[in-house]
Amino acid sequence: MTTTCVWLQEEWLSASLIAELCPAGATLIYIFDETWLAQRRYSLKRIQFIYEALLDLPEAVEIYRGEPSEILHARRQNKTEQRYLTFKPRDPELRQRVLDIAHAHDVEHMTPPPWIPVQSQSFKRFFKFYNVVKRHALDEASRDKS
Amino acid sequence: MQILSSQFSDRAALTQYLQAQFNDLLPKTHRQASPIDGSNPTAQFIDQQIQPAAYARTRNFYQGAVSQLSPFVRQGMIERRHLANIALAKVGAKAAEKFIQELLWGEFWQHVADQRPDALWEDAEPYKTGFEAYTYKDTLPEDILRAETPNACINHFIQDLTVTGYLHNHARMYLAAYVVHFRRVRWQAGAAWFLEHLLDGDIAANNFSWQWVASTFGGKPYIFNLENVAKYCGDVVDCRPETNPELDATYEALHLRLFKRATS
Ligand SMILES: Cc1cc2nc3c(=O)[nH]c(=O)nc-3n(C[C@H](O)[C@H](O)[C@H](O)COP(=O)(O)OP(=O)(O)OC[C@H]3O[C@@H](n4cnc5c(N)ncnc54)[C@H](O)[C@@H]3O)c2cc1C
Repeated sequence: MTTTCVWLQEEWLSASLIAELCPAGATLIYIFDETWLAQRRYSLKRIQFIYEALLDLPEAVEIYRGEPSEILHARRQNKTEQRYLTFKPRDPELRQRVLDIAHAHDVEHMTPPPWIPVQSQSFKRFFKFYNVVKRHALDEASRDKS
Repeated sequence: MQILSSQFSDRAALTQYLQAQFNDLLPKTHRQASPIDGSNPTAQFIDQQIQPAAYARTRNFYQGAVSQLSPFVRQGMIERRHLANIALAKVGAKAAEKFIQELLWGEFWQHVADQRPDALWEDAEPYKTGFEAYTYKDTLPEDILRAETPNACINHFIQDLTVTGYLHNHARMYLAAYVVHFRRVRWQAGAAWFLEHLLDGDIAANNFSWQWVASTFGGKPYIFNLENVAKYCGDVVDCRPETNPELDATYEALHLRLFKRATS
Protein backbone atom coordinates (compact mmCIF):
# COMPACT_ATOMS: atom_id res chain seq x y z
CA MET A 1 0.00 0.00 0.00
CA THR A 2 1.25 3.50 -0.88
CA THR A 3 1.84 5.67 2.16
CA THR A 4 0.97 9.31 1.67
CA CYS A 5 1.83 12.54 3.41
CA VAL A 6 -0.42 15.58 2.91
CA TRP A 7 1.09 19.02 3.44
CA LEU A 8 -1.92 21.11 4.50
CA GLN A 9 -2.28 24.76 3.50
CA GLU A 10 -3.79 27.56 5.59
CA GLU A 11 -6.67 28.24 3.19
CA TRP A 12 -7.95 24.67 3.10
CA LEU A 13 -8.45 23.57 6.69
CA SER A 14 -11.77 21.90 6.05
CA ALA A 15 -12.38 18.49 7.60
CA SER A 16 -14.79 17.52 4.83
CA LEU A 17 -12.45 18.59 2.04
CA ILE A 18 -9.56 16.68 3.60
CA ALA A 19 -11.77 13.59 3.97
CA GLU A 20 -12.91 13.93 0.36
CA LEU A 21 -9.59 14.61 -1.37
CA CYS A 22 -6.91 12.94 0.77
CA PRO A 23 -6.25 9.20 0.67
CA ALA A 24 -7.45 7.37 3.78
CA GLY A 25 -4.70 6.88 6.34
CA ALA A 26 -2.52 9.69 4.97
CA THR A 27 -0.29 11.51 7.44
CA LEU A 28 -1.29 15.17 7.71
CA ILE A 29 1.38 17.79 8.30
CA TYR A 30 1.18 21.59 8.62
CA ILE A 31 4.18 23.89 8.43
CA PHE A 32 4.22 27.40 9.92
CA ASP A 33 6.45 28.69 7.15
CA GLU A 34 8.93 31.16 8.64
CA THR A 35 9.59 33.00 5.41
CA TRP A 36 5.89 33.42 4.73
CA LEU A 37 5.08 34.52 8.29
CA ALA A 38 7.85 37.09 8.18
CA GLN A 39 6.74 38.37 4.77
CA ARG A 40 3.10 38.84 5.83
CA ARG A 41 3.96 39.69 9.46
CA TYR A 42 1.11 37.55 10.83
CA SER A 43 0.08 38.65 14.30
CA LEU A 44 -0.32 36.13 17.10
CA LYS A 45 -4.08 36.36 16.55
CA ARG A 46 -3.76 34.89 13.10
CA ILE A 47 -1.25 32.23 14.12
CA GLN A 48 -3.40 31.10 17.04
CA PHE A 49 -6.55 31.05 14.92
CA ILE A 50 -4.88 28.71 12.41
CA TYR A 51 -3.41 26.61 15.22
CA GLU A 52 -6.84 26.14 16.81
CA ALA A 53 -8.30 25.15 13.46
CA LEU A 54 -5.57 22.52 13.08
CA LEU A 55 -6.06 21.13 16.59
CA ASP A 56 -9.78 20.79 15.94
CA LEU A 57 -9.46 18.70 12.77
CA PRO A 58 -10.72 15.13 13.31
CA GLU A 59 -7.40 13.61 12.13
CA ALA A 60 -4.23 14.41 14.07
CA VAL A 61 -1.89 16.87 12.33
CA GLU A 62 1.89 17.02 12.85
CA ILE A 63 2.63 20.72 13.22
CA TYR A 64 6.01 22.22 12.39
CA ARG A 65 7.65 25.61 12.40
CA GLY A 66 10.45 26.12 9.87
CA GLU A 67 11.27 26.25 6.19
CA PRO A 68 8.98 23.93 4.19
CA SER A 69 11.81 22.91 1.83
CA GLU A 70 13.97 21.71 4.72
CA ILE A 71 11.12 19.91 6.42
CA LEU A 72 9.98 18.14 3.27
CA HIS A 73 13.55 17.21 2.45
CA ALA A 74 14.13 15.82 5.94
CA ARG A 75 10.91 13.82 5.80
CA ARG A 76 11.88 12.36 2.47
CA GLN A 77 15.17 11.21 3.99
CA ASN A 78 13.79 9.76 7.20
CA LYS A 79 10.26 8.55 6.57
CA THR A 80 8.86 5.82 4.45
CA GLU A 81 6.14 7.88 2.78
CA GLN A 82 6.09 7.36 -0.95
CA ARG A 83 3.68 10.03 -2.08
CA TYR A 84 3.38 13.70 -1.13
CA LEU A 85 0.33 15.84 -1.75
CA THR A 86 -0.66 19.42 -1.05
CA PHE A 87 -3.51 21.85 -1.81
CA LYS A 88 -3.09 24.65 -4.32
CA PRO A 89 -3.48 27.95 -2.40
CA ARG A 90 -5.87 30.66 -3.60
CA ASP A 91 -3.63 33.53 -2.51
CA PRO A 92 -1.49 34.14 -5.64
CA GLU A 93 1.67 34.91 -3.64
CA LEU A 94 1.31 31.89 -1.40
CA ARG A 95 0.39 29.78 -4.42
CA GLN A 96 3.59 30.73 -6.20
CA ARG A 97 5.67 29.88 -3.14
CA VAL A 98 3.93 26.57 -2.43
CA LEU A 99 3.99 25.43 -6.06
CA ASP A 100 7.71 26.26 -6.36
CA ILE A 101 8.47 24.21 -3.25
CA ALA A 102 6.12 21.43 -4.35
CA HIS A 103 7.84 21.25 -7.73
CA ALA A 104 11.29 21.06 -6.15
CA HIS A 105 10.27 18.28 -3.75
CA ASP A 106 8.05 16.22 -6.00
CA VAL A 107 4.83 17.10 -4.18
CA GLU A 108 1.62 16.73 -6.21
CA HIS A 109 -1.00 19.42 -5.77
CA MET A 110 -4.78 19.15 -5.56
CA THR A 111 -7.14 21.94 -6.62
CA PRO A 112 -10.46 21.98 -4.78
CA PRO A 113 -13.33 22.70 -7.19
CA PRO A 114 -14.24 26.42 -7.44
CA TRP A 115 -17.74 27.67 -6.67
CA ILE A 116 -17.79 29.99 -9.69
CA PRO A 117 -15.90 28.74 -12.73
CA VAL A 118 -15.07 31.76 -14.92
CA GLN A 119 -11.54 31.02 -16.10
CA SER A 120 -12.13 31.96 -19.73
CA GLN A 121 -13.60 35.43 -19.09
CA SER A 122 -12.07 38.52 -17.62
CA PHE A 123 -14.12 41.03 -15.61
CA LYS A 124 -12.93 44.42 -14.52
CA ARG A 125 -15.96 45.60 -12.56
CA PHE A 126 -18.12 43.68 -10.10
CA PHE A 127 -21.56 44.11 -11.68
CA LYS A 128 -20.38 42.78 -15.04
CA PHE A 129 -19.13 39.70 -13.19
CA TYR A 130 -22.27 39.52 -11.08
CA ASN A 131 -24.63 39.61 -14.03
CA VAL A 132 -22.82 36.67 -15.61
CA VAL A 133 -22.45 34.48 -12.51
CA LYS A 134 -25.64 35.35 -10.62
CA ARG A 135 -27.77 32.68 -12.25
CA HIS A 136 -25.12 30.03 -11.70
CA ALA A 137 -24.79 30.98 -8.04
CA LEU A 138 -28.51 30.99 -7.36
CA ASP A 139 -29.22 27.92 -9.49
CA GLU A 140 -26.44 25.93 -7.99
CA ALA A 141 -27.58 26.83 -4.55
CA SER A 142 -31.14 25.76 -5.42
CA ARG A 143 -29.92 22.41 -6.75
CA ASP A 144 -27.99 21.78 -3.59
CA LYS A 145 -31.08 22.55 -1.51
CA SER A 146 -33.27 19.85 -3.01
CA MET B 1 12.97 22.79 12.03
CA GLN B 2 10.79 22.39 15.06
CA ILE B 3 7.94 20.03 15.85
CA LEU B 4 5.23 21.87 17.77
CA SER B 5 3.02 20.54 20.54
CA SER B 6 -0.62 19.54 20.15
CA GLN B 7 -1.56 19.26 23.83
CA PHE B 8 -2.70 22.28 25.81
CA SER B 9 -4.66 22.54 29.03
CA ASP B 10 -6.62 25.56 27.80
CA ARG B 11 -6.58 28.53 25.38
CA ALA B 12 -4.37 30.64 27.62
CA ALA B 13 -1.75 27.88 27.70
CA LEU B 14 -1.79 27.74 23.89
CA THR B 15 -1.36 31.52 23.66
CA GLN B 16 1.58 31.42 26.05
CA TYR B 17 3.17 28.57 24.10
CA LEU B 18 2.78 30.40 20.79
CA GLN B 19 4.17 33.64 22.21
CA ALA B 20 7.30 31.72 23.16
CA GLN B 21 7.58 29.66 19.97
CA PHE B 22 7.03 32.57 17.58
CA ASN B 23 8.65 35.27 19.70
CA ASP B 24 11.22 36.24 17.05
CA LEU B 25 8.62 36.59 14.31
CA LEU B 26 5.97 38.54 16.18
CA PRO B 27 5.66 42.32 16.21
CA LYS B 28 6.52 43.98 19.53
CA THR B 29 2.95 45.08 20.20
CA HIS B 30 -0.32 43.16 19.87
CA ARG B 31 0.94 39.80 21.05
CA GLN B 32 -2.40 38.57 22.35
CA ALA B 33 -4.82 36.02 20.92
CA SER B 34 -8.14 37.11 19.47
CA PRO B 35 -11.25 36.39 21.54
CA ILE B 36 -12.47 34.59 18.39
CA ASP B 37 -11.58 30.89 18.65
CA GLY B 38 -10.39 29.07 15.53
CA SER B 39 -12.06 25.78 16.42
CA ASN B 40 -14.46 24.46 13.83
CA PRO B 41 -17.80 26.28 14.14
CA THR B 42 -20.80 23.98 14.66
CA ALA B 43 -23.49 23.67 12.00
CA GLN B 44 -25.93 25.22 14.47
CA PHE B 45 -23.68 28.26 14.98
CA ILE B 46 -23.25 28.77 11.22
CA ASP B 47 -26.98 28.47 10.69
CA GLN B 48 -27.66 31.01 13.42
CA GLN B 49 -25.20 33.51 11.92
CA ILE B 50 -26.97 33.56 8.56
CA GLN B 51 -30.03 35.81 8.64
CA PRO B 52 -30.47 36.82 5.00
CA ALA B 53 -33.60 38.94 5.37
CA ALA B 54 -32.23 40.96 8.28
CA TYR B 55 -28.88 41.09 6.46
CA ALA B 56 -30.43 42.84 3.47
CA ARG B 57 -31.93 45.52 5.75
CA THR B 58 -29.20 46.05 8.32
CA ARG B 59 -25.82 44.91 6.98
CA ASN B 60 -24.41 48.45 6.79
CA PHE B 61 -25.01 49.01 10.50
CA TYR B 62 -22.22 48.22 12.91
CA GLN B 63 -24.66 46.10 14.93
CA GLY B 64 -26.40 44.75 11.81
CA ALA B 65 -27.03 41.09 11.01
CA VAL B 66 -23.71 40.30 9.32
CA SER B 67 -22.51 36.71 9.65
CA GLN B 68 -19.03 37.31 11.14
CA LEU B 69 -18.02 34.03 9.51
CA SER B 70 -15.22 35.47 7.36
CA PRO B 71 -12.34 34.10 9.50
CA PHE B 72 -13.67 30.57 8.96
CA VAL B 73 -14.21 31.24 5.26
CA ARG B 74 -10.60 32.47 4.94
CA GLN B 75 -9.25 29.29 6.49
CA GLY B 76 -11.39 27.18 4.16
CA MET B 77 -13.34 25.74 7.10
CA ILE B 78 -16.58 26.92 5.48
CA GLU B 79 -17.13 27.44 1.76
CA ARG B 80 -18.98 30.49 0.46
CA ARG B 81 -21.03 28.12 -1.66
CA HIS B 82 -22.24 26.42 1.52
CA LEU B 83 -23.25 29.77 3.06
CA ALA B 84 -25.21 30.61 -0.11
CA ASN B 85 -27.03 27.31 0.11
CA ILE B 86 -28.02 27.88 3.73
CA ALA B 87 -29.31 31.36 2.89
CA LEU B 88 -31.31 30.04 0.00
CA ALA B 89 -32.77 27.19 1.98
CA LYS B 90 -33.85 29.65 4.66
CA VAL B 91 -35.52 32.38 2.65
CA GLY B 92 -35.45 31.58 -1.07
CA ALA B 93 -33.61 33.25 -3.93
CA LYS B 94 -35.20 36.70 -3.81
CA ALA B 95 -34.64 37.39 -0.11
CA ALA B 96 -31.21 35.72 -0.14
CA GLU B 97 -29.90 37.68 -3.11
CA LYS B 98 -28.21 40.51 -1.20
CA PHE B 99 -26.31 38.07 1.01
CA ILE B 100 -25.30 35.95 -1.98
CA GLN B 101 -24.24 39.09 -3.85
CA GLU B 102 -21.86 39.96 -1.01
CA LEU B 103 -20.50 36.40 -0.99
CA LEU B 104 -19.83 36.86 -4.70
CA TRP B 105 -17.74 39.98 -4.01
CA GLY B 106 -15.26 37.58 -2.43
CA GLU B 107 -15.27 35.42 -5.57
CA PHE B 108 -14.92 38.51 -7.75
CA TRP B 109 -11.84 39.77 -5.94
CA GLN B 110 -10.30 36.31 -6.20
CA HIS B 111 -11.04 36.38 -9.93
CA VAL B 112 -9.37 39.80 -10.28
CA ALA B 113 -6.35 38.59 -8.30
CA ASP B 114 -5.98 35.57 -10.59
CA GLN B 115 -6.28 37.77 -13.67
CA ARG B 116 -4.02 40.55 -12.37
CA PRO B 117 -1.57 39.25 -9.77
CA ASP B 118 0.69 42.16 -10.80
CA ALA B 119 -1.86 44.60 -9.33
CA LEU B 120 -1.96 43.04 -5.85
CA TRP B 121 0.59 45.55 -4.55
CA GLU B 122 0.74 48.00 -7.48
CA ASP B 123 -1.81 50.71 -8.24
CA ALA B 124 -4.16 49.13 -10.79
CA GLU B 125 -4.99 52.64 -12.08
CA PRO B 126 -3.90 56.19 -11.17
CA TYR B 127 -5.49 57.87 -8.13
CA LYS B 128 -8.53 59.99 -8.99
CA THR B 129 -7.90 62.37 -6.09
CA GLY B 130 -5.91 64.94 -7.98
CA PHE B 131 -2.69 63.75 -6.30
CA GLU B 132 0.11 61.64 -7.77
CA ALA B 133 0.91 58.35 -6.04
CA TYR B 134 4.38 59.56 -4.99
CA THR B 135 2.87 62.31 -2.83
CA TYR B 136 1.34 59.74 -0.43
CA LYS B 137 3.31 58.66 2.65
CA ASP B 138 4.81 55.16 2.64
CA THR B 139 4.21 54.24 6.27
CA LEU B 140 1.43 54.50 8.80
CA PRO B 141 1.80 57.32 11.34
CA GLU B 142 2.37 56.23 14.96
CA ASP B 143 -0.93 57.66 16.21
CA ILE B 144 -2.80 55.31 13.87
CA LEU B 145 -0.77 52.29 14.98
CA ARG B 146 -1.46 53.19 18.63
CA ALA B 147 -5.16 54.02 18.15
CA GLU B 148 -4.43 57.57 19.32
CA THR B 149 -5.69 59.62 16.38
CA PRO B 150 -7.67 62.80 17.12
CA ASN B 151 -10.90 60.89 16.34
CA ALA B 152 -12.60 58.63 18.87
CA CYS B 153 -14.53 56.59 16.32
CA ILE B 154 -11.41 55.86 14.26
CA ASN B 155 -9.59 54.78 17.44
CA HIS B 156 -12.52 52.49 18.25
CA PHE B 157 -12.25 50.78 14.84
CA ILE B 158 -8.47 50.44 15.17
CA GLN B 159 -8.99 48.73 18.53
CA ASP B 160 -11.49 46.33 16.95
CA LEU B 161 -8.95 45.46 14.29
CA THR B 162 -5.95 44.99 16.53
CA VAL B 163 -7.64 43.35 19.51
CA THR B 164 -10.20 41.05 17.86
CA GLY B 165 -8.87 40.65 14.30
CA TYR B 166 -12.41 41.24 12.99
CA LEU B 167 -13.86 44.48 11.71
CA HIS B 168 -17.30 45.25 10.28
CA ASN B 169 -17.21 45.99 6.53
CA HIS B 170 -18.35 49.59 6.95
CA ALA B 171 -15.69 50.19 9.60
CA ARG B 172 -13.07 48.76 7.20
CA MET B 173 -14.19 51.31 4.61
CA TYR B 174 -14.05 54.19 7.11
CA LEU B 175 -10.63 53.17 8.36
CA ALA B 176 -9.21 52.69 4.87
CA ALA B 177 -10.60 56.05 3.72
CA TYR B 178 -9.22 57.74 6.83
CA VAL B 179 -5.74 56.32 6.22
CA VAL B 180 -5.60 57.08 2.50
CA HIS B 181 -7.57 60.31 2.13
CA PHE B 182 -7.55 62.07 5.51
CA ARG B 183 -3.94 61.17 6.29
CA ARG B 184 -2.69 60.71 2.74
CA VAL B 185 -0.89 57.40 3.27
CA ARG B 186 -0.45 54.96 0.38
CA TRP B 187 -3.10 52.22 0.42
CA GLN B 188 -0.34 49.57 0.40
CA ALA B 189 0.71 50.50 3.94
CA GLY B 190 -2.85 50.16 5.18
CA ALA B 191 -3.45 46.92 3.31
CA ALA B 192 -0.34 45.30 4.82
CA TRP B 193 -1.45 46.45 8.28
CA PHE B 194 -4.90 44.85 7.79
CA LEU B 195 -3.34 41.59 6.58
CA GLU B 196 -1.24 41.47 9.72
CA HIS B 197 -4.30 41.63 11.99
CA LEU B 198 -7.45 40.44 10.21
CA LEU B 199 -8.28 36.80 10.92
CA ASP B 200 -9.95 36.79 7.51
CA GLY B 201 -6.97 38.60 5.94
CA ASP B 202 -7.19 37.68 2.27
CA ILE B 203 -4.92 39.46 -0.16
CA ALA B 204 -7.48 39.57 -2.97
CA ALA B 205 -10.47 40.97 -1.02
CA ASN B 206 -8.25 43.14 1.15
CA ASN B 207 -5.89 44.74 -1.34
CA PHE B 208 -8.48 45.37 -4.02
CA SER B 209 -10.92 46.80 -1.45
CA TRP B 210 -8.17 49.17 -0.33
CA GLN B 211 -7.60 50.09 -3.97
CA TRP B 212 -11.33 50.65 -4.45
CA VAL B 213 -11.40 53.05 -1.49
CA ALA B 214 -8.22 54.76 -2.69
CA SER B 215 -9.64 55.13 -6.26
CA THR B 216 -6.83 53.14 -7.90
CA PHE B 217 -9.40 50.45 -8.73
CA GLY B 218 -12.58 52.38 -9.39
CA GLY B 219 -13.92 55.64 -10.68
CA LYS B 220 -13.72 57.86 -7.60
CA PRO B 221 -12.32 57.93 -4.07
CA TYR B 222 -14.57 56.70 -1.25
CA ILE B 223 -14.94 59.13 1.64
CA PHE B 224 -17.26 59.49 4.63
CA ASN B 225 -18.08 62.09 7.25
CA LEU B 226 -19.00 61.98 10.92
CA GLU B 227 -22.71 62.19 10.21
CA ASN B 228 -22.46 58.95 8.24
CA VAL B 229 -20.54 57.17 11.00
CA ALA B 230 -23.09 58.39 13.55
CA LYS B 231 -25.95 57.06 11.43
CA TYR B 232 -24.50 53.54 11.16
CA CYS B 233 -22.44 53.19 14.34
CA GLY B 234 -23.64 55.93 16.68
CA ASP B 235 -25.38 53.59 19.12
CA VAL B 236 -22.07 51.94 20.10
CA VAL B 237 -19.26 54.20 18.95
CA ASP B 238 -18.42 57.68 20.25
CA CYS B 239 -19.49 59.98 17.40
CA ARG B 240 -19.57 63.33 19.18
CA PRO B 241 -18.23 66.22 17.07
CA GLU B 242 -15.90 67.36 19.86
CA THR B 243 -14.17 63.97 20.01
CA ASN B 244 -13.99 63.52 16.22
CA PRO B 245 -12.79 66.91 14.98
CA GLU B 246 -11.25 65.81 11.66
CA LEU B 247 -14.43 64.11 10.48
CA ASP B 248 -17.09 66.62 11.40
CA ALA B 249 -17.74 68.32 8.06
CA THR B 250 -20.04 68.24 5.06
CA TYR B 251 -19.06 66.17 2.03
CA GLU B 252 -18.59 69.35 0.06
CA ALA B 253 -16.15 70.73 2.61
CA LEU B 254 -14.31 67.41 2.79
CA HIS B 255 -13.92 67.24 -0.99
CA LEU B 256 -12.42 70.71 -0.96
CA ARG B 257 -10.13 69.86 1.94
CA LEU B 258 -9.02 66.36 0.91
CA PHE B 259 -8.77 66.41 -2.88
CA LYS B 260 -7.01 68.62 -5.36
CA ARG B 261 -9.32 70.26 -7.85
CA ALA B 262 -8.45 70.08 -11.51
CA THR B 263 -6.72 73.27 -12.56
CA SER B 264 -7.01 74.23 -16.21
C1 LIG C 1 -10.59 47.91 3.23
C2 LIG C 1 -11.27 46.56 3.22
C3 LIG C 1 -10.53 45.40 3.48
C4 LIG C 1 -11.14 44.15 3.45
N1 LIG C 1 -10.37 43.03 3.70
C5 LIG C 1 -10.94 41.81 3.61
C6 LIG C 1 -10.17 40.64 3.84
O1 LIG C 1 -8.97 40.69 4.08
N2 LIG C 1 -10.81 39.44 3.77
C7 LIG C 1 -12.14 39.33 3.48
O2 LIG C 1 -12.68 38.22 3.45
N3 LIG C 1 -12.88 40.42 3.24
C8 LIG C 1 -12.34 41.65 3.30
N4 LIG C 1 -13.11 42.76 3.09
C9 LIG C 1 -14.52 42.59 2.69
C10 LIG C 1 -15.54 42.58 3.85
O3 LIG C 1 -15.32 43.67 4.68
C11 LIG C 1 -15.47 41.30 4.68
O4 LIG C 1 -15.54 40.16 3.84
C12 LIG C 1 -16.62 41.22 5.66
O5 LIG C 1 -16.65 42.37 6.47
C13 LIG C 1 -16.46 39.97 6.51
O6 LIG C 1 -17.39 39.97 7.56
P1 LIG C 1 -18.63 38.98 7.61
O7 LIG C 1 -18.17 37.57 7.53
O8 LIG C 1 -19.44 39.37 8.82
O9 LIG C 1 -19.35 39.36 6.27
P2 LIG C 1 -20.80 39.09 5.70
O10 LIG C 1 -21.33 40.41 5.27
O11 LIG C 1 -21.62 38.28 6.62
O12 LIG C 1 -20.52 38.28 4.37
C14 LIG C 1 -20.38 36.87 4.31
C15 LIG C 1 -19.14 36.53 3.53
O13 LIG C 1 -19.19 37.09 2.22
C16 LIG C 1 -17.90 37.56 1.82
N5 LIG C 1 -17.98 39.03 1.66
C17 LIG C 1 -18.92 39.85 2.16
N6 LIG C 1 -18.70 41.13 1.77
C18 LIG C 1 -17.58 41.11 1.04
C19 LIG C 1 -16.83 42.11 0.34
N7 LIG C 1 -17.21 43.39 0.32
N8 LIG C 1 -15.71 41.74 -0.30
C20 LIG C 1 -15.32 40.44 -0.31
N9 LIG C 1 -15.98 39.44 0.30
C21 LIG C 1 -17.10 39.77 0.96
C22 LIG C 1 -16.95 37.18 2.94
O14 LIG C 1 -16.40 35.92 2.63
C23 LIG C 1 -17.87 37.08 4.14
O15 LIG C 1 -17.40 36.22 5.14
C24 LIG C 1 -12.52 44.04 3.13
C25 LIG C 1 -13.26 45.21 2.88
C26 LIG C 1 -12.65 46.45 2.94
C27 LIG C 1 -13.48 47.68 2.67
